[in-house]
Amino acid sequence: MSTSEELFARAQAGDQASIGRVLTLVEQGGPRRDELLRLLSPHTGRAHRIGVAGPPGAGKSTLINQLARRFAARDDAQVGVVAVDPSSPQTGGALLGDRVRMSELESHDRIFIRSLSTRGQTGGLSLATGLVADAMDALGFDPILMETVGVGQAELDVMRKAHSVALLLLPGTGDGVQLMKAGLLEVADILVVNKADRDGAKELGVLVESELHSRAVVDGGWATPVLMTCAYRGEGVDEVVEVMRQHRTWLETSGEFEARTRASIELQLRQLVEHALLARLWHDDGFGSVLRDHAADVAAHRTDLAAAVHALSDRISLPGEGS
Amino acid sequence: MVETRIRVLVAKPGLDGHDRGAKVIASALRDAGMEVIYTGLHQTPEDIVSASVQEDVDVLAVSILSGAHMSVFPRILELLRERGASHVHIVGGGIIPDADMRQLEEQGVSRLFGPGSPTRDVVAFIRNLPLRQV
Repeated sequence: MSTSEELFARAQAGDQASIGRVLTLVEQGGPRRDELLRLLSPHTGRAHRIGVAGPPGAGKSTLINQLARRFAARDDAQVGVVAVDPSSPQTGGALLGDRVRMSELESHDRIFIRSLSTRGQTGGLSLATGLVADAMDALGFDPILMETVGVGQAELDVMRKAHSVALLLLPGTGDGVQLMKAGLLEVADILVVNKADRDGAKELGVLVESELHSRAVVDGGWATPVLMTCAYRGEGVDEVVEVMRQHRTWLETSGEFEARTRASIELQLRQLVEHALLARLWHDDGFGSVLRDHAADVAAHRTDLAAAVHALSDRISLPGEGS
Repeated sequence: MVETRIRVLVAKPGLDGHDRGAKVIASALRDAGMEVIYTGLHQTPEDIVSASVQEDVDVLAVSILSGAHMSVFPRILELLRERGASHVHIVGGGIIPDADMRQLEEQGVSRLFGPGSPTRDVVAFIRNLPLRQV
Protein backbone atom coordinates (compact mmCIF):
# COMPACT_ATOMS: atom_id res chain seq x y z
CA MET A 1 0.00 0.00 0.00
CA SER A 2 1.41 3.38 -1.00
CA THR A 3 0.72 6.77 0.53
CA SER A 4 -1.83 9.06 -1.11
CA GLU A 5 1.02 11.38 -2.14
CA GLU A 6 2.88 8.58 -3.96
CA LEU A 7 -0.29 7.32 -5.58
CA PHE A 8 -1.30 10.79 -6.75
CA ALA A 9 2.19 11.46 -8.15
CA ARG A 10 2.09 8.25 -10.18
CA ALA A 11 -1.41 9.08 -11.43
CA GLN A 12 -0.23 12.56 -12.46
CA ALA A 13 2.62 10.92 -14.37
CA GLY A 14 -0.03 9.03 -16.36
CA ASP A 15 0.16 5.55 -14.83
CA GLN A 16 -3.23 4.04 -15.73
CA ALA A 17 -3.48 1.67 -12.77
CA SER A 18 -2.79 4.56 -10.37
CA ILE A 19 -5.37 6.77 -12.09
CA GLY A 20 -7.88 3.93 -11.74
CA ARG A 21 -7.05 3.59 -8.05
CA VAL A 22 -7.37 7.33 -7.37
CA LEU A 23 -10.84 7.34 -8.95
CA THR A 24 -11.90 4.38 -6.79
CA LEU A 25 -10.64 5.92 -3.54
CA VAL A 26 -12.26 9.27 -4.30
CA GLU A 27 -15.55 7.53 -5.03
CA GLN A 28 -15.44 5.25 -1.97
CA GLY A 29 -15.12 7.90 0.71
CA GLY A 30 -13.28 7.71 4.01
CA PRO A 31 -9.90 9.11 5.05
CA ARG A 32 -8.19 8.22 1.75
CA ARG A 33 -10.78 10.30 -0.10
CA ASP A 34 -10.10 13.25 2.17
CA GLU A 35 -6.34 13.03 1.58
CA LEU A 36 -6.79 12.76 -2.18
CA LEU A 37 -9.27 15.63 -2.36
CA ARG A 38 -6.69 17.82 -0.62
CA LEU A 39 -4.03 16.79 -3.18
CA LEU A 40 -6.38 17.13 -6.18
CA SER A 41 -7.88 20.45 -5.25
CA PRO A 42 -5.17 22.83 -6.56
CA HIS A 43 -5.33 21.18 -9.99
CA THR A 44 -9.09 21.28 -10.58
CA GLY A 45 -11.25 23.79 -12.43
CA ARG A 46 -9.66 23.53 -15.86
CA ALA A 47 -11.54 20.80 -17.71
CA HIS A 48 -14.65 21.31 -19.82
CA ARG A 49 -17.30 19.00 -18.34
CA ILE A 50 -19.89 17.87 -20.84
CA GLY A 51 -23.01 16.04 -19.70
CA VAL A 52 -24.84 13.70 -22.04
CA ALA A 53 -28.38 12.87 -20.92
CA GLY A 54 -31.41 11.26 -22.44
CA PRO A 55 -33.78 8.33 -22.11
CA PRO A 56 -32.57 4.71 -22.22
CA GLY A 57 -31.90 3.60 -25.77
CA ALA A 58 -31.39 7.12 -27.11
CA GLY A 59 -27.82 6.30 -28.10
CA LYS A 60 -25.83 8.12 -25.42
CA SER A 61 -23.01 5.58 -25.16
CA THR A 62 -22.78 5.34 -28.92
CA LEU A 63 -22.58 9.13 -29.26
CA ILE A 64 -19.97 9.36 -26.50
CA ASN A 65 -17.93 6.69 -28.27
CA GLN A 66 -17.90 8.92 -31.36
CA LEU A 67 -17.32 12.18 -29.47
CA ALA A 68 -14.45 10.84 -27.36
CA ARG A 69 -12.52 9.67 -30.41
CA ARG A 70 -12.94 13.01 -32.13
CA PHE A 71 -11.90 15.05 -29.09
CA ALA A 72 -8.88 12.80 -28.57
CA ALA A 73 -7.87 13.01 -32.24
CA ARG A 74 -8.32 16.71 -32.90
CA ASP A 75 -6.69 18.23 -29.86
CA ASP A 76 -4.23 15.57 -28.82
CA ALA A 77 -6.27 15.75 -25.63
CA GLN A 78 -6.72 13.23 -22.82
CA VAL A 79 -10.44 12.52 -22.72
CA GLY A 80 -12.23 11.30 -19.60
CA VAL A 81 -15.56 9.45 -19.73
CA VAL A 82 -17.74 8.84 -16.67
CA ALA A 83 -20.61 6.45 -17.42
CA VAL A 84 -23.27 5.99 -14.76
CA ASP A 85 -25.80 3.20 -14.37
CA PRO A 86 -28.21 2.61 -11.53
CA SER A 87 -27.60 -0.11 -8.98
CA SER A 88 -30.28 -2.35 -7.51
CA PRO A 89 -31.75 -0.87 -4.34
CA GLN A 90 -32.26 -4.44 -3.07
CA THR A 91 -28.79 -5.92 -3.42
CA GLY A 92 -26.65 -2.88 -4.20
CA GLY A 93 -25.32 -4.83 -7.17
CA ALA A 94 -25.09 -3.28 -10.60
CA LEU A 95 -24.53 -4.30 -14.18
CA LEU A 96 -22.57 -1.57 -15.91
CA GLY A 97 -22.78 -2.07 -19.63
CA ASP A 98 -21.80 1.21 -21.21
CA ARG A 99 -18.40 -0.09 -22.29
CA VAL A 100 -20.13 -2.44 -24.74
CA ARG A 101 -20.99 0.54 -26.96
CA MET A 102 -17.60 2.10 -26.38
CA SER A 103 -15.51 -0.96 -27.24
CA GLU A 104 -13.73 0.96 -30.01
CA LEU A 105 -12.21 3.10 -27.28
CA GLU A 106 -10.56 0.21 -25.46
CA SER A 107 -6.81 0.36 -25.62
CA HIS A 108 -7.02 3.97 -26.80
CA ASP A 109 -4.22 5.44 -24.73
CA ARG A 110 -5.74 8.91 -24.47
CA ILE A 111 -9.28 7.96 -23.48
CA PHE A 112 -10.05 6.85 -19.93
CA ILE A 113 -13.47 5.40 -19.15
CA ARG A 114 -14.84 4.80 -15.66
CA SER A 115 -18.21 3.13 -15.00
CA LEU A 116 -20.06 4.08 -11.84
CA SER A 117 -23.14 2.80 -10.07
CA THR A 118 -25.42 4.71 -7.75
CA ARG A 119 -24.82 2.48 -4.72
CA GLY A 120 -28.25 3.35 -3.44
CA GLN A 121 -27.26 6.68 -1.88
CA THR A 122 -29.50 9.71 -1.99
CA GLY A 123 -27.77 12.05 -4.39
CA GLY A 124 -25.10 9.38 -4.70
CA LEU A 125 -25.15 9.33 -8.45
CA SER A 126 -24.42 12.98 -8.75
CA LEU A 127 -21.93 13.08 -5.88
CA ALA A 128 -19.84 10.19 -7.16
CA THR A 129 -19.90 11.51 -10.73
CA GLY A 130 -18.80 14.94 -9.55
CA LEU A 131 -15.95 13.55 -7.44
CA VAL A 132 -14.68 11.28 -10.20
CA ALA A 133 -14.89 14.17 -12.68
CA ASP A 134 -12.94 16.37 -10.23
CA ALA A 135 -10.20 13.74 -10.03
CA MET A 136 -10.06 13.38 -13.82
CA ASP A 137 -9.89 17.16 -14.15
CA ALA A 138 -6.97 17.34 -11.71
CA LEU A 139 -5.18 14.57 -13.59
CA GLY A 140 -5.31 16.52 -16.85
CA PHE A 141 -8.31 15.02 -18.64
CA ASP A 142 -10.12 17.59 -20.77
CA PRO A 143 -12.86 17.36 -21.87
CA ILE A 144 -14.70 15.07 -19.47
CA LEU A 145 -17.84 13.43 -20.86
CA MET A 146 -20.41 12.46 -18.24
CA GLU A 147 -23.18 10.10 -19.21
CA THR A 148 -26.29 9.25 -17.29
CA VAL A 149 -29.24 7.00 -18.00
CA GLY A 150 -32.71 8.39 -17.60
CA VAL A 151 -34.30 11.77 -17.16
CA GLY A 152 -35.30 11.98 -13.50
CA GLN A 153 -34.22 14.19 -10.59
CA ALA A 154 -31.03 12.19 -9.91
CA GLU A 155 -29.94 12.60 -13.52
CA LEU A 156 -30.77 16.28 -13.43
CA ASP A 157 -28.38 16.62 -10.48
CA VAL A 158 -25.64 14.86 -12.44
CA MET A 159 -26.13 17.35 -15.26
CA ARG A 160 -25.75 20.22 -12.79
CA LYS A 161 -22.12 19.09 -12.41
CA ALA A 162 -21.53 19.80 -16.12
CA HIS A 163 -20.61 23.03 -17.91
CA SER A 164 -22.41 21.96 -21.08
CA VAL A 165 -25.36 19.60 -21.32
CA ALA A 166 -26.29 17.73 -24.47
CA LEU A 167 -29.74 16.19 -24.35
CA LEU A 168 -30.47 13.30 -26.69
CA LEU A 169 -33.95 12.72 -28.03
CA LEU A 170 -35.26 9.62 -29.73
CA PRO A 171 -37.76 9.94 -32.61
CA GLY A 172 -41.08 8.16 -32.57
CA THR A 173 -41.39 7.65 -28.83
CA GLY A 174 -43.14 10.82 -27.72
CA ASP A 175 -39.91 11.76 -25.97
CA GLY A 176 -40.03 15.36 -27.06
CA VAL A 177 -43.16 15.98 -25.05
CA GLN A 178 -42.06 13.85 -22.10
CA LEU A 179 -38.79 15.72 -21.78
CA MET A 180 -40.48 19.08 -21.87
CA LYS A 181 -42.37 17.98 -18.77
CA ALA A 182 -39.33 16.54 -17.06
CA GLY A 183 -37.34 19.74 -16.70
CA LEU A 184 -34.28 18.50 -18.52
CA LEU A 185 -34.97 20.71 -21.51
CA GLU A 186 -34.29 23.73 -19.31
CA VAL A 187 -30.78 22.59 -18.46
CA ALA A 188 -29.91 21.49 -22.00
CA ASP A 189 -27.42 23.61 -23.95
CA ILE A 190 -27.46 21.40 -27.02
CA LEU A 191 -30.30 19.21 -28.26
CA VAL A 192 -29.50 16.19 -30.35
CA VAL A 193 -32.16 14.23 -32.21
CA ASN A 194 -30.35 10.90 -32.57
CA LYS A 195 -31.32 8.02 -34.88
CA ALA A 196 -32.31 10.74 -37.31
CA ASP A 197 -32.87 8.16 -40.05
CA ARG A 198 -35.98 6.99 -38.23
CA ASP A 199 -39.54 8.02 -38.95
CA GLY A 200 -40.59 11.03 -36.99
CA ALA A 201 -37.10 12.51 -36.60
CA LYS A 202 -37.84 15.62 -38.63
CA GLU A 203 -41.14 16.15 -36.81
CA LEU A 204 -39.43 15.81 -33.44
CA GLY A 205 -36.78 18.34 -34.53
CA VAL A 206 -39.48 20.82 -35.55
CA LEU A 207 -41.41 20.28 -32.31
CA VAL A 208 -38.35 20.89 -30.18
CA GLU A 209 -37.29 23.92 -32.26
CA SER A 210 -40.67 25.52 -31.74
CA GLU A 211 -40.52 24.82 -28.02
CA LEU A 212 -37.09 26.47 -27.86
CA HIS A 213 -38.19 29.51 -29.88
CA SER A 214 -40.73 30.33 -27.24
CA ARG A 215 -37.81 30.97 -24.88
CA ALA A 216 -36.35 34.44 -24.97
CA VAL A 217 -32.60 34.52 -25.63
CA VAL A 218 -31.03 37.66 -24.21
CA ASP A 219 -28.28 39.51 -26.08
CA GLY A 220 -25.04 37.60 -25.85
CA GLY A 221 -26.95 34.60 -24.53
CA TRP A 222 -26.70 31.07 -25.81
CA ALA A 223 -29.36 29.99 -28.27
CA THR A 224 -29.79 26.22 -27.81
CA PRO A 225 -29.27 24.53 -31.17
CA VAL A 226 -31.04 21.39 -32.36
CA LEU A 227 -28.78 18.93 -34.19
CA MET A 228 -29.60 15.72 -36.04
CA THR A 229 -27.32 12.69 -35.75
CA CYS A 230 -27.03 9.02 -36.64
CA ALA A 231 -24.46 8.31 -33.98
CA TYR A 232 -23.82 4.67 -34.86
CA ARG A 233 -22.86 5.69 -38.39
CA GLY A 234 -21.00 8.75 -37.15
CA GLU A 235 -23.26 11.11 -39.09
CA GLY A 236 -23.68 14.59 -37.68
CA VAL A 237 -21.17 13.96 -34.90
CA ASP A 238 -18.59 16.46 -36.21
CA GLU A 239 -21.26 19.14 -35.91
CA VAL A 240 -21.95 18.15 -32.29
CA VAL A 241 -18.23 18.42 -31.49
CA GLU A 242 -18.10 21.83 -33.18
CA VAL A 243 -21.11 23.11 -31.21
CA MET A 244 -19.60 21.83 -27.97
CA ARG A 245 -16.44 23.82 -28.71
CA GLN A 246 -18.52 26.90 -29.50
CA HIS A 247 -20.37 26.46 -26.25
CA ARG A 248 -17.10 26.26 -24.34
CA THR A 249 -15.95 29.50 -25.97
CA TRP A 250 -19.27 31.13 -25.08
CA LEU A 251 -18.97 29.89 -21.47
CA GLU A 252 -15.47 31.33 -21.17
CA THR A 253 -16.23 34.71 -22.70
CA SER A 254 -19.54 35.22 -20.88
CA GLY A 255 -18.22 34.33 -17.43
CA GLU A 256 -20.59 31.35 -17.32
CA PHE A 257 -17.71 28.88 -17.07
CA GLU A 258 -16.74 30.18 -13.63
CA ALA A 259 -20.36 30.63 -12.60
CA ARG A 260 -21.24 27.03 -13.49
CA THR A 261 -18.08 25.73 -11.85
CA ARG A 262 -19.03 27.52 -8.63
CA ALA A 263 -22.63 26.25 -8.80
CA SER A 264 -21.34 22.73 -9.27
CA ILE A 265 -19.00 23.02 -6.28
CA GLU A 266 -21.85 24.39 -4.19
CA LEU A 267 -24.04 21.41 -5.08
CA GLN A 268 -21.13 19.05 -4.45
CA LEU A 269 -20.57 20.55 -1.03
CA ARG A 270 -24.26 20.41 -0.20
CA GLN A 271 -24.39 16.72 -1.12
CA LEU A 272 -21.25 15.92 0.90
CA VAL A 273 -22.68 17.66 3.96
CA GLU A 274 -26.01 15.87 3.61
CA HIS A 275 -24.20 12.61 3.16
CA ALA A 276 -22.03 13.15 6.23
CA LEU A 277 -24.98 14.17 8.41
CA LEU A 278 -27.15 11.27 7.28
CA ALA A 279 -24.30 8.82 7.81
CA ARG A 280 -23.92 10.08 11.39
CA LEU A 281 -27.67 9.85 11.96
CA TRP A 282 -28.16 6.32 10.65
CA HIS A 283 -25.00 5.01 12.27
CA ASP A 284 -26.46 5.93 15.64
CA ASP A 285 -28.36 2.76 16.54
CA GLY A 286 -30.27 4.65 19.22
CA PHE A 287 -31.90 6.85 16.61
CA GLY A 288 -32.87 3.88 14.44
CA SER A 289 -34.58 2.10 17.32
CA VAL A 290 -36.43 5.21 18.46
CA LEU A 291 -37.62 5.67 14.88
CA ARG A 292 -38.88 2.09 14.81
CA ASP A 293 -40.73 2.68 18.10
CA HIS A 294 -42.39 5.77 16.67
CA ALA A 295 -43.34 3.86 13.51
CA ALA A 296 -45.00 1.19 15.67
CA ASP A 297 -46.86 3.92 17.58
CA VAL A 298 -48.11 5.46 14.32
CA ALA A 299 -49.26 2.05 13.08
CA ALA A 300 -51.15 1.48 16.36
CA HIS A 301 -52.68 4.99 16.16
CA ARG A 302 -51.03 6.00 19.44
CA THR A 303 -49.48 8.95 17.64
CA ASP A 304 -49.47 10.41 14.13
CA LEU A 305 -46.79 11.05 11.49
CA ALA A 306 -46.53 14.79 12.18
CA ALA A 307 -46.11 14.34 15.92
CA ALA A 308 -43.58 11.53 15.39
CA VAL A 309 -41.50 13.70 13.02
CA HIS A 310 -41.41 16.51 15.57
CA ALA A 311 -40.37 14.13 18.33
CA LEU A 312 -37.63 12.60 16.19
CA SER A 313 -36.36 15.93 14.82
CA ASP A 314 -36.04 17.26 18.35
CA ARG A 315 -33.56 14.47 19.09
CA ILE A 316 -31.18 15.70 16.36
CA SER A 317 -28.88 18.47 17.44
CA LEU A 318 -26.93 20.22 14.73
CA PRO A 319 -23.62 21.90 15.58
CA GLY A 320 -24.22 25.40 16.93
CA GLU A 321 -27.58 24.57 18.45
CA GLY A 322 -26.13 23.79 21.81
CA SER A 323 -27.78 20.86 23.59
CA MET B 1 -17.60 6.31 5.65
CA VAL B 2 -16.01 3.88 3.19
CA GLU B 3 -18.31 2.01 0.88
CA THR B 4 -16.56 -0.88 -0.77
CA ARG B 5 -18.09 -3.24 -3.22
CA ILE B 6 -16.45 -6.03 -5.13
CA ARG B 7 -15.94 -4.82 -8.70
CA VAL B 8 -15.79 -7.48 -11.39
CA LEU B 9 -15.13 -7.11 -15.09
CA VAL B 10 -16.82 -9.81 -17.16
CA ALA B 11 -15.07 -10.28 -20.48
CA LYS B 12 -15.63 -12.46 -23.51
CA PRO B 13 -12.49 -12.71 -25.61
CA GLY B 14 -12.14 -14.35 -28.97
CA LEU B 15 -14.08 -14.77 -32.14
CA ASP B 16 -16.99 -16.96 -31.08
CA GLY B 17 -20.23 -15.11 -30.45
CA HIS B 18 -21.52 -17.18 -27.55
CA ASP B 19 -21.91 -14.77 -24.66
CA ARG B 20 -24.79 -16.46 -22.87
CA GLY B 21 -22.50 -17.88 -20.21
CA ALA B 22 -20.88 -14.49 -19.70
CA LYS B 23 -24.28 -12.82 -19.33
CA VAL B 24 -25.54 -15.45 -16.89
CA ILE B 25 -22.48 -15.00 -14.71
CA ALA B 26 -22.70 -11.20 -14.95
CA SER B 27 -26.31 -11.29 -13.73
CA ALA B 28 -25.51 -13.72 -10.91
CA LEU B 29 -22.67 -11.53 -9.64
CA ARG B 30 -24.87 -8.43 -9.85
CA ASP B 31 -27.60 -10.19 -7.87
CA ALA B 32 -24.95 -11.08 -5.27
CA GLY B 33 -24.42 -7.34 -4.73
CA MET B 34 -21.29 -6.86 -6.84
CA GLU B 35 -20.59 -4.13 -9.37
CA VAL B 36 -20.22 -5.85 -12.68
CA ILE B 37 -18.73 -4.19 -15.74
CA TYR B 38 -19.73 -6.03 -18.88
CA THR B 39 -17.64 -5.34 -21.96
CA GLY B 40 -19.30 -7.33 -24.71
CA LEU B 41 -18.00 -9.68 -27.37
CA HIS B 42 -14.77 -10.05 -29.33
CA GLN B 43 -12.38 -8.45 -26.87
CA THR B 44 -8.62 -8.84 -27.24
CA PRO B 45 -6.48 -9.50 -24.14
CA GLU B 46 -5.18 -5.92 -24.55
CA ASP B 47 -8.75 -4.51 -24.51
CA ILE B 48 -9.67 -6.61 -21.48
CA VAL B 49 -6.64 -5.62 -19.45
CA SER B 50 -6.96 -1.96 -20.40
CA ALA B 51 -10.60 -1.95 -19.27
CA SER B 52 -9.72 -3.81 -16.04
CA VAL B 53 -7.07 -1.23 -15.21
CA GLN B 54 -9.30 1.76 -15.97
CA GLU B 55 -12.17 0.30 -13.98
CA ASP B 56 -9.81 -0.68 -11.13
CA VAL B 57 -11.58 -4.02 -10.69
CA ASP B 58 -10.84 -6.60 -8.01
CA VAL B 59 -11.72 -9.54 -10.21
CA LEU B 60 -11.59 -10.29 -13.91
CA ALA B 61 -14.02 -13.01 -15.00
CA VAL B 62 -13.26 -14.40 -18.45
CA SER B 63 -15.61 -16.63 -20.41
CA ILE B 64 -13.89 -18.52 -23.17
CA LEU B 65 -15.31 -21.19 -25.44
CA SER B 66 -13.12 -20.80 -28.49
CA GLY B 67 -10.34 -23.14 -27.39
CA ALA B 68 -7.84 -20.29 -27.25
CA HIS B 69 -7.55 -20.41 -23.46
CA MET B 70 -3.90 -21.53 -23.45
CA SER B 71 -2.91 -18.33 -25.24
CA VAL B 72 -5.52 -15.89 -23.87
CA PHE B 73 -5.04 -16.46 -20.12
CA PRO B 74 -1.21 -16.32 -20.10
CA ARG B 75 -1.35 -13.15 -22.23
CA ILE B 76 -3.83 -11.52 -19.82
CA LEU B 77 -1.61 -12.45 -16.84
CA GLU B 78 1.43 -11.00 -18.59
CA LEU B 79 -0.34 -7.75 -19.51
CA LEU B 80 -1.74 -7.31 -15.99
CA ARG B 81 1.78 -7.62 -14.60
CA GLU B 82 3.12 -5.11 -17.14
CA ARG B 83 0.39 -2.61 -16.29
CA GLY B 84 0.97 -2.85 -12.55
CA ALA B 85 -2.32 -4.63 -11.94
CA SER B 86 -1.22 -8.11 -10.88
CA HIS B 87 -3.45 -7.78 -7.80
CA VAL B 88 -6.47 -8.46 -10.07
CA HIS B 89 -7.77 -11.98 -9.48
CA ILE B 90 -8.64 -13.89 -12.63
CA VAL B 91 -11.44 -16.42 -12.75
CA GLY B 92 -12.52 -18.17 -15.90
CA GLY B 93 -15.20 -20.37 -17.32
CA GLY B 94 -15.68 -22.40 -20.44
CA ILE B 95 -14.77 -25.65 -22.06
CA ILE B 96 -11.24 -26.22 -20.79
CA PRO B 97 -9.61 -29.65 -20.35
CA ASP B 98 -8.58 -30.56 -16.78
CA ALA B 99 -4.86 -30.68 -17.61
CA ASP B 100 -5.04 -27.17 -19.10
CA MET B 101 -6.99 -25.95 -16.06
CA ARG B 102 -4.27 -27.16 -13.69
CA GLN B 103 -1.55 -25.60 -15.80
CA LEU B 104 -3.30 -22.23 -15.98
CA GLU B 105 -4.03 -22.22 -12.25
CA GLU B 106 -0.33 -22.87 -11.63
CA GLN B 107 0.49 -19.88 -13.83
CA GLY B 108 -1.66 -17.58 -11.71
CA VAL B 109 -5.31 -17.90 -12.76
CA SER B 110 -7.23 -18.04 -9.46
CA ARG B 111 -9.84 -20.57 -10.52
CA LEU B 112 -11.40 -22.03 -13.66
CA PHE B 113 -14.95 -23.32 -13.75
CA GLY B 114 -16.09 -25.97 -16.21
CA PRO B 115 -19.44 -26.17 -18.01
CA GLY B 116 -22.40 -26.69 -15.67
CA SER B 117 -20.69 -25.12 -12.65
CA PRO B 118 -23.42 -23.63 -10.44
CA THR B 119 -23.25 -19.83 -10.45
CA ARG B 120 -23.45 -19.87 -6.63
CA ASP B 121 -20.04 -21.61 -6.58
CA VAL B 122 -18.56 -18.80 -8.64
CA VAL B 123 -20.19 -16.18 -6.40
CA ALA B 124 -18.92 -17.91 -3.24
CA PHE B 125 -15.41 -18.27 -4.66
CA ILE B 126 -15.21 -14.56 -5.57
CA ARG B 127 -16.63 -13.51 -2.20
CA ASN B 128 -13.86 -15.43 -0.43
CA LEU B 129 -11.01 -13.97 -2.44
CA PRO B 130 -8.61 -11.85 -0.40
CA LEU B 131 -9.15 -8.29 -1.61
CA ARG B 132 -6.65 -5.48 -1.56
CA GLN B 133 -6.58 -3.20 1.42
CA VAL B 134 -7.62 0.39 0.76
